[in-house]
Amino acid sequence: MVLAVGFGSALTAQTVPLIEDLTEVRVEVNGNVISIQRDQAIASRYSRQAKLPWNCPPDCIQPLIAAPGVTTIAELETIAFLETMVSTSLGLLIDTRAPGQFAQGTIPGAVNVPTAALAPGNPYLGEILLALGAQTQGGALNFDTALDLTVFGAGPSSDQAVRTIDNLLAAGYPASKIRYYRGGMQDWQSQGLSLSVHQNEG
Amino acid sequence: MIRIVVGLFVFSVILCAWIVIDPSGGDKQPDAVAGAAPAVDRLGAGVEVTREQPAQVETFQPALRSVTRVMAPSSTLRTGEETLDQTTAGILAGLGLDTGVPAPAPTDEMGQMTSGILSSIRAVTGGTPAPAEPSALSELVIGALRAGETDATIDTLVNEAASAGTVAVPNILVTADGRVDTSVLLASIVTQARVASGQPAPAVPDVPVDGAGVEVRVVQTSTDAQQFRFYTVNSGDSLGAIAIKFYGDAAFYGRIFDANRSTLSSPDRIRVGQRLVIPEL
Repeated sequence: MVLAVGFGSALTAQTVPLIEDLTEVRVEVNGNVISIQRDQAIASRYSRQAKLPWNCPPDCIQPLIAAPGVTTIAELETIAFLETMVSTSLGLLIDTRAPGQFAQGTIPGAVNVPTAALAPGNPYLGEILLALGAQTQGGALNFDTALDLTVFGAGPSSDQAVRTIDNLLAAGYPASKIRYYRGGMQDWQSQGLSLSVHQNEG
Repeated sequence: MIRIVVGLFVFSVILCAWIVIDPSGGDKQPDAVAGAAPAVDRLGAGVEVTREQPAQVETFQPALRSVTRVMAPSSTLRTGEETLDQTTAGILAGLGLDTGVPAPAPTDEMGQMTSGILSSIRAVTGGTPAPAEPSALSELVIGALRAGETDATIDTLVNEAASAGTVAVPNILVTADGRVDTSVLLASIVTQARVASGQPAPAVPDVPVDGAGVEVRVVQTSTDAQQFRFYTVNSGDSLGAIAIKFYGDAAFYGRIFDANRSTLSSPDRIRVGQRLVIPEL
């Protein structure tokens, strides 16, 4: 324990904030002060997230709950979502990473909808929401028939999925139809689960 | 002799003074920011140049809103959920030509990304936009085209059927005076057929600045000059026709609709005299 802290503080040049403007948490336990920091060198040994160096934002540790009403799920629930919702065309598994990362390997059955595509500035946002099953009703969108979505990104320290969920909610998508797979590609791969590669797709 | 010389001298002095002072001021903006000058010059005559702070740009919108609120809705045509692209694809399929793509690929990066996303979503959900069976409108147009009817006859047939309520038309085909703009439908058929046969999509046309109803405003901000185009709806215009006028393709109507959502509740609700913002593609 003492060794780990010493190792971490020796590499302070490579610490990353845990969340915005928070680089260290100090806690006193039994009279000893322990320090929690985030070290890139250690993280890169356990994480498969290729992008280095990390910066926070955007690579902040994400909260368990993305937004009120949005359920956070893990690997087994994601697989169950594929079995029950995606296979029956009632749901869609959304990979929010950039197209290049998506092409290199994603969860089988996932569709690439990069975070930028659902940002409020995209003039085609309405078209995507219609493709997700929303219907126009008197000039507004009705989401009663919209697909259930499971949204994921690179991993627990990537904000893409959470930003996508925020954008969906801002567009009126009901929180009850959205699930957040917080572990993302990082946790999926760390369990050795199957990947599908889309190298030849645009 | 001396009087003539003195008279000429006085005249030339007055002439020089007039040139230097230039009482009309011309259309030059002596204090214009150098970077903005070329853009302003290019627009030429008939262009209104406003030099305002960005915050004041928003005053356009409330003004537009108050104008359009006054006008009562007049649309009586039955409009359907089917889009122009779907109708066109249905007609072409009925004529034996598979368009493959439901819409011409947009040229901008975001548009290309979006069309890729849409096709991958549809690949999973199975929700292809092409109609499984042709709509009543498609069947009517296919029949008329097969019979070799003229554009004018097709226009009459479609308008009769639409006002009788026997066919539903895509809402961007509804004109400001409540008719069906069949010329846009026929143009869309030609465009999709061209794209399907590998020919390039129509280019964005040069819209004359002084064309009827077209208005260009340059709004000078602290960093750059932004150009806004406006179009005042004329009798007989549909949103599809306006998209063809400015972008060369009715498929881009969504850009205009999105930019005018505050004053336009639905694409079939455009009114004569309504002033629409025309965003750059």
